[in-house]
Amino acid sequence: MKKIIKSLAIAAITITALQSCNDARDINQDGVISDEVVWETIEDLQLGLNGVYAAYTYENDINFNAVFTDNIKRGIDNNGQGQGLYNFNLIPSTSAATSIFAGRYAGINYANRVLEGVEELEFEDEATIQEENHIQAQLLTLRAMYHFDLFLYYTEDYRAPNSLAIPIMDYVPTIDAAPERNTVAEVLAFINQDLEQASQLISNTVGSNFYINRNTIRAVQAKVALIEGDYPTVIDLTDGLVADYPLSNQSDYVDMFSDLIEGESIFTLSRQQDDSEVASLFYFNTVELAGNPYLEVSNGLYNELAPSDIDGDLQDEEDIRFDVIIHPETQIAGTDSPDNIILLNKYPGSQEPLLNDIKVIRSSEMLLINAEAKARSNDFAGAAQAIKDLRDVRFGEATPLPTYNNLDEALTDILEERRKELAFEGKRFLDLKWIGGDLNIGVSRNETDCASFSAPCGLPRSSYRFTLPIPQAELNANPNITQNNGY
Amino acid sequence: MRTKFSGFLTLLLAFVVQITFAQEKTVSGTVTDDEGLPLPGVNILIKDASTGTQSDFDGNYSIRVEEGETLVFSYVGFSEQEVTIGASDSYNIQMQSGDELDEVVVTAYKTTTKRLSTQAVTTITAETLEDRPNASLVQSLQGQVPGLNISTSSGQPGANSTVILRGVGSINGNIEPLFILDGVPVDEDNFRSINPNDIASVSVLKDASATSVYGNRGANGVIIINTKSGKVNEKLKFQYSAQYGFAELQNLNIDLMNSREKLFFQKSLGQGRGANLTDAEIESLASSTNTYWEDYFFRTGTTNSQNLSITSGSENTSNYTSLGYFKQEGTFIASDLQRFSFRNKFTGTSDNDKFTYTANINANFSESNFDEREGSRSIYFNPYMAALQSLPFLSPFDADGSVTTTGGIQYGDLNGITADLAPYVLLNSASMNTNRDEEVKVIGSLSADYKFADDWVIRNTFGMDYTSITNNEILHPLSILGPFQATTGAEFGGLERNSFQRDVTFNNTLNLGYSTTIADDHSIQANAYLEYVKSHLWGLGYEQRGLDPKSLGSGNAFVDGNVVETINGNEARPYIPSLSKTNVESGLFSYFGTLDYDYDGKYGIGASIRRDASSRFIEDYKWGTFYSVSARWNIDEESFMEGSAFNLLKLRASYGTAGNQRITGGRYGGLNLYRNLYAFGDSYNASSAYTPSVLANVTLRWEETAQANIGVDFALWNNKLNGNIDVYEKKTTDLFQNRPISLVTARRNIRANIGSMRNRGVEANFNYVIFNNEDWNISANANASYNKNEVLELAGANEEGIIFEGGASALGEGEPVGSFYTVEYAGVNPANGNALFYDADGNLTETLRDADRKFSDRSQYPVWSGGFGAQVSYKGFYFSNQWVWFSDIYRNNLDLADLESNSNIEDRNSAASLLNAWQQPGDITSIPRMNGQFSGVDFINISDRYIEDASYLRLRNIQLGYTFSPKILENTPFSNINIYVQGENLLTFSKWRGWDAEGGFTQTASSNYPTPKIYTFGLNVNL
Repeated sequence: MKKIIKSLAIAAITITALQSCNDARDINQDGVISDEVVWETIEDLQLGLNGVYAAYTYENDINFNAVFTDNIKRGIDNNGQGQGLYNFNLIPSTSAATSIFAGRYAGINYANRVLEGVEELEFEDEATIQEENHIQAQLLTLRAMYHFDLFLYYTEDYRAPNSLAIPIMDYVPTIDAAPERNTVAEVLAFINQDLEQASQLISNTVGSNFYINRNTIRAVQAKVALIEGDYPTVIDLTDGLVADYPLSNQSDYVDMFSDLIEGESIFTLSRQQDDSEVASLFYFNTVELAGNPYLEVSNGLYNELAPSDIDGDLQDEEDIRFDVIIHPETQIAGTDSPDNIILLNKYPGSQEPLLNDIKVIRSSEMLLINAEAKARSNDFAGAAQAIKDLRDVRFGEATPLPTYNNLDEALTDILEERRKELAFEGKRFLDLKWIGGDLNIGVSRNETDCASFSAPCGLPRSSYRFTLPIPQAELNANPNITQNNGY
Repeated sequence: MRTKFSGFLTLLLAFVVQITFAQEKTVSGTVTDDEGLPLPGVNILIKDASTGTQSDFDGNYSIRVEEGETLVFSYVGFSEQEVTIGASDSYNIQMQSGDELDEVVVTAYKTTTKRLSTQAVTTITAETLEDRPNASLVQSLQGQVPGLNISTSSGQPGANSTVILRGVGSINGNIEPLFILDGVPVDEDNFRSINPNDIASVSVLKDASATSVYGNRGANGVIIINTKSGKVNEKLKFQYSAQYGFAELQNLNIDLMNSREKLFFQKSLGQGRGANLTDAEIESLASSTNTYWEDYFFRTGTTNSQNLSITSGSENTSNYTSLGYFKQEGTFIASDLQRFSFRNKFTGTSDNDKFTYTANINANFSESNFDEREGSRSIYFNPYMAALQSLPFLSPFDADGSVTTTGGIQYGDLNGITADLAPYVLLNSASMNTNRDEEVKVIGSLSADYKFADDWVIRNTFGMDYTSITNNEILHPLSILGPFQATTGAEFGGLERNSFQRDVTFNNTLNLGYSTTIADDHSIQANAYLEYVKSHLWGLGYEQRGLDPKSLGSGNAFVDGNVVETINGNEARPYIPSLSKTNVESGLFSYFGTLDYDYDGKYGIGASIRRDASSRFIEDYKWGTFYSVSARWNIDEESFMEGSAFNLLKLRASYGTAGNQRITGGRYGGLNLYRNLYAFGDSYNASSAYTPSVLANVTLRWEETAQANIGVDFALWNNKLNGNIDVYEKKTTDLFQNRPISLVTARRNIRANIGSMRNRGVEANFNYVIFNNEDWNISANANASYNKNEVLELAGANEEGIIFEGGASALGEGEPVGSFYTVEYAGVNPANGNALFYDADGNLTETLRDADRKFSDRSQYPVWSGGFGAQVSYKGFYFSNQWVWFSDIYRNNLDLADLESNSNIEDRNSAASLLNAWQQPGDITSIPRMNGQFSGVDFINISDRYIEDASYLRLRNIQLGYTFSPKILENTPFSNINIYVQGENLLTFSKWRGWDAEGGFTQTASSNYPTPKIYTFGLNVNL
C-alpha cells in the first residue's frame, strides 16, 4: 500500500511538472501587433498613413544642403558640429551619406505596407471607399516623392535615360531583398505612374497643407516634368499652381515662416511639440544671439541679401527675404569680417523655441520652375517676367525687368534667385547639381566663410561628390547594388 | 512531444521499484589540527554518497549517517582521514598535516570531491571573500579564478561588473555566465543587494562536462554560489563582524593645464577668455584661481559594514540566520549605497532520516543614490566629464568662500548656461537633484529530498528570485536646469520620473537519483531531471515635467496636463505627463539526465544529456539537445605511482555542448524576433501611427558552444604544491549576428544565426606552501590564463571577411571579437602641423578614409589575465595580498582625446601635452597643430591615435590582521576574536592615461565613474 502511495505521489509530481511546461515554452507576449491583425479597418489604414508622413525626415536634407554648400559658416558656439561635412568629407559610411537613403526607403517601405492593407481590405459603403481612395492617393504620392528625392541625390546624370538611378520599391521586401538600381527612365516612369494614379484617386477637397492634396500632386508632377524636359507641362502646371497659391506678401511671408498662417506653402511638414526641432540644426538652445548658435549664415549669402540699390531710385530697398533669413541680432563688423556674427532667422521657433513646421513646396518655387522651364524653352522674356513677378512681391514694389540674352544668363540669374528664395529649405545642393551642372558652377565659398572652418573654399561641379554615395550599410547587404563613381 | 514525455514518464515510474529502510543516526564531534586547536571548515563527506557537511568555527561538526558508513574528513594542507561509524555517536578527529586534499567540489546539481571530479571546476571559499569591502560579491572574485575575467567600469558602490569566462563566446548575445545562488538562477547583473558575508563558497564551472547540464543557459559557464548553513546538534553561536573605512579616488594619470598654462594657451590661439586678457591680467587671474575640479566632484567616502550571524542546531534541525547592514559612500559627492540584508537557512530531517528539507529565505533592501549619466557625452549632465575637463581658472567658490552651487548663473537664464560653466551646473545638480533606486530583492527556495528506497532519492527544488526596483529621479524646479524641463518659456519647470519594476523568476527542478556501489569497486550514480524556469518582468513609469517647488516630492507638485500657456505666441500644453508600461515574460522547459561511473577511485566517466525548449524560438527550432562526456584517470592511485611525490595526479578530459538563448544579451531581450510586428506610437502632426517594429526571422535558434577540455589536477610533496592546468577549445556556432540587410527593408540589419567563433586557451593555477612550522606559515598562489579569441565565419561580411558598421572597431574573420579597425596614425607633418596617417598602401596621407582602415591585433578584451598573492602568518598575526593583472587589452581613450581636442580650447580644460602642439613649419612634435581639420572624435572613430594599452597590474587587496589565541580567550565568553586592516586597489601599475585602468572591458573610455581605493579596519568576534 505504502509503495503504491509513494509511486502515485511521485507520478503526480511528475505529471504536474510536465503539465506546466507549455506555459514556459510557448509564450505569446501581451500587446504585440502582428502583421495578421494590423490592417483591419479604415482607421488602421489612416494610422499606417500617418507613419508614412512621419518618415519624411526632411531635416536631413536641410542640414546637408546647407552645410555641404556655401550658405553657412562656423557659429560662435560651434564645437566641431558640421566640420567634417563642411570639409566635403563625404564617405559611404557617414551619416550624411546614409540618412537620406535610409530615411526615404523606410518611408517607401511603410507606404508599401499600408498599400498592401489597401489591397486586402474591401469596403462596402461609398464614403469609406472614397476615404480609402484618398488614403491610397496620399500613399502613392508620398512613395513617388520619396523615390524622386532619392533619384535627385543618388543619380549621377538625370538626363541619361539608361544610366543608373535608384532601386524602385513597389512591394514589401523580405529580409533577403537585394534590389538592383533601376535606370533613370524606369524610375521617372514609375514616379509618373504613381502620381497619375494618385491624381485619379485623390479627393477633390483641398484640406490642410500638412497633407497631400491634388495640388501637391500637381506640384510634384511639375518638378518631375522639369527634370524630364517636358517644359510645356511644367509651365502649364506651375501657371495653375501660382494662380491657386498667390505669392505671400511681405507680412504674410514673415507670418508663414513663424507658422502663423499657411501662406503660399503648398506642402508643409507639420512639426508639433516633442517632434524634431528644425532650428536645432543651427542653434543649441534658442534662436537668438545668446541661444548658442553653432552654424551661422555665410558672409557669401549675407552679401547677396544685403540691401542694395536694385532699381536705381536711391531709396532703401526692402527685400523681405533679408528679414526672414537674417536675424535682427546679427552683428556686422564689416564686409567679410571674420568677426561677423550672422544669425539665421528662417526657423524662428513657435510653441517651442527651436520648433518650426518645414515648408517643402512653396508657390515661389513653382514660379522659379516656371521661369526655368520658359528659359529652357528659349522664352527668355517669359522667364525674366516670372523672376520679376517674384521679386516684386518680395521687395513689396516694382523691380526692374531683368534681361536674359541666352540660356546661361537666365539660368545663372534663376540659380541666384533660388539661393535667396529657398535658402535653408533643403535645395541648394540639388540646385548646384542640376542648374549648376548646366552652368559648370560648383560650390564656391566666400573666403571668410571657409576660413571659419579651416575648410576648402570650393568644390568644382565636376567633382564626383555632387552625387551622394550609396551608403556602406547598403553595400554590405546588397551584392546587386552599384556604387556611384568616385567613391 | 507528448509521446516523448510519456516515454520519459514511464521511465520515471519504472524507477520506483523497491523500498527498504536503513538505520541512521546523528554523529558529532570536534575536528582539531595536529596541535589540538579547533579546525573550522573541514569537509566531512559520507563516502560514496553525495551528502556532507563542514566543521564550524569551533571545529565542531555533526552529520546524519548510517552505522557502517564511512566518514571522510579532508582539509587543505592535511591528510585525509576516514572513520567507519560504529555504535558510538561521537568521533573526535585530529587531522595530520601535510597530506593530500580532497576538497568538496560543488558542481551542477550535485557535489563530489576534487579527487573524483571529472570536471574543470574552481572553487573558492568564504575565507577569500569575507571581510572584503566591496558591495558586490562579484568584484571580490577578480583575479582568484584562472580564466574568469571580471572588470567593473563604474565606481558606484555595488555597480555591475562584466564577467567573462574563457573568452567572449558571443557577438551580440549574452556573454556572461549563469549564476546560481543556492539552486536558484539569479540575475547576473545585480549583486548590490546580496550580502557577501553570507557566502560559503563560489564554484566556477568551466568545461562542457560541468556546464552542459545547464543546457541553453550554460554556454558562457556557470557560477554556483552556496551560502552558509548551520549544523545539527550545535549549540547557539553568534558571530559578529564589523568594518569601517574610507574610499577615495585613484590617481589621475594625465597632466592637466593649470590656469596660467590654459590662459596663455588660449591667448596664443586667440580663442577663449585668455585671448582677451593681457599678460598681467592672466598672471593675476592664474594666481588667484587654479581649480582642480576633481576635488569638488569627488570626496573621501566612508564604508560601514555590520554583520551578525546566529547558528544553532538540534538533533533534526539546523539553522543559520544573519542580519547585515552595509553603507558605502561613493567617491562622487552624490553617490552611495545602503543595504539591509537578512538571511535564514533552515534544514530539517525526519526521524528516520529519509526525508530532508532546506528552506532558504534571503530578503534584502538597498537604497542607491547615483548619477546615471556616466559615460554620457552631454556636458551638462555628466559630472565625471566636468570633473576632468572643466576650466581651471573658474573659481569653485561663492563670494562668501563656500563651495558654490550656482557659479553665479542666474536662475532662469537659459542663455547664461554656457559650455564653460558646465561644472557649476553639475555641482548644482549634484546638490539639488535626486536619482535614487530602492530595491527589494528576495531570493527564496525550498528543496526537499526523500530517500524512498535504498540507493534511490527523489528531490525537488523550488526557487524564486524576486527583485523590485523603484527609481525616483527629480530634477528640482529651482535647480539651474530646472526651469527648462517642461518647455523653455513655460511658467513651471522641473522634472520628476518614477518607475517601478518587478522582476520575478521562478524555477523548479525535479530530480530522481540512483546511486549504488557494486562489488565495492564499481560506483554508479544516475540522475534524471525535469526543470521549469519562468520569468516575468512588469514595470510602470511616468514622467512629469512641470513641478511646484514647494510641494516637491509629493504628487501635489505636478502641474495639471490640461494647463494651457501661450509660448512664443502659440498656445501650448507643456505639462502633459508621459506614461510607460512594460509587461513581458520568457520561459524555458528542459529535461535531462546525468550518469557517473567510478572504478575504485582510479577511473571515472561521466555523461549528460539535456533537451531544452525556449520561448524565444518557434516550433522547428524551439528544442535543442546538448550533451557531454567526460573521463578521468587518477594516476596516483596506480600501483606504479606508489612512493612517488604525487599525492594527487589526475588526468581528465571532456567534450560537450551547451547553448545560449539570450539573443540580444538581456534576459528579456529578443523575445519576439520570429514574428512580423507593428508598434503603435506617436506620429505625424500630433496623431498616432502603426509602424513596423520587428521584421521576422523565422529561422532563429540557439547559439551552440562545443567545448573540449583536457586538464591535470595535481598535488605534490604532501600537498605543499598543488594546482591544475587546463587547455580548452570552445567553438560557438550559429552565432547571433547582426546580418546587414538592405535599407529598403527600413532596417539596417537583422539578428540571424550565422557564423562561428573560437576561443582557445590555457589556464593554470598553483598553490605552494613555502614554509610551515609551529609559528610560521608562508604560502603563495598564482594563476594565469591565456585566451585567444578568433571569429571564424561572419554573416554579411565583405570580400575581405570584414563587417564594419562605423566607429573604431569591426568584426573580421580571423580577428578577435572587439578588434579595433582603424587608420594608423603616423604623427605630425612638420611642414604644416597636420595629422598624418598611413594609407592602405603604407604611404603617408593627411586624409582620413575608411578605405585605409586595417586591423592591428588589438582588442578590447584581454588575452592574458591572472592573479597572484601570498599569505604569511606568524602565531596570531597574518598578512595577505592579492594581485590582479590583465595584459594585451586595449581601449580607446576618448577622455584624453577630449583633453587634446580643438573643441576643448575655449570652454573646457586641455591636457598639458598640448603645450607641445605644432606651431610653425619645422616643429617636430607628437601633437598636431591646434584647430586642425580633425576633432578628437574623428581621431577616436577613425584613427588609432588614442587606442591605448590598458594592461595593468593592481594590488587588489592587502590585509594585515591578528587573531587572538584560544588561550588568551579561555576565560572570556569569546571563542574567537580577530582584528584587521586592509586596502583595495591601493597600487596600480599601468600605462593607461586616466583615473582607472580597469574600465569594464569597454571599447571606449568616456567619462566613467572611476573605481575607488578603499581602506578599512575590521573586527570579527565569535561568541
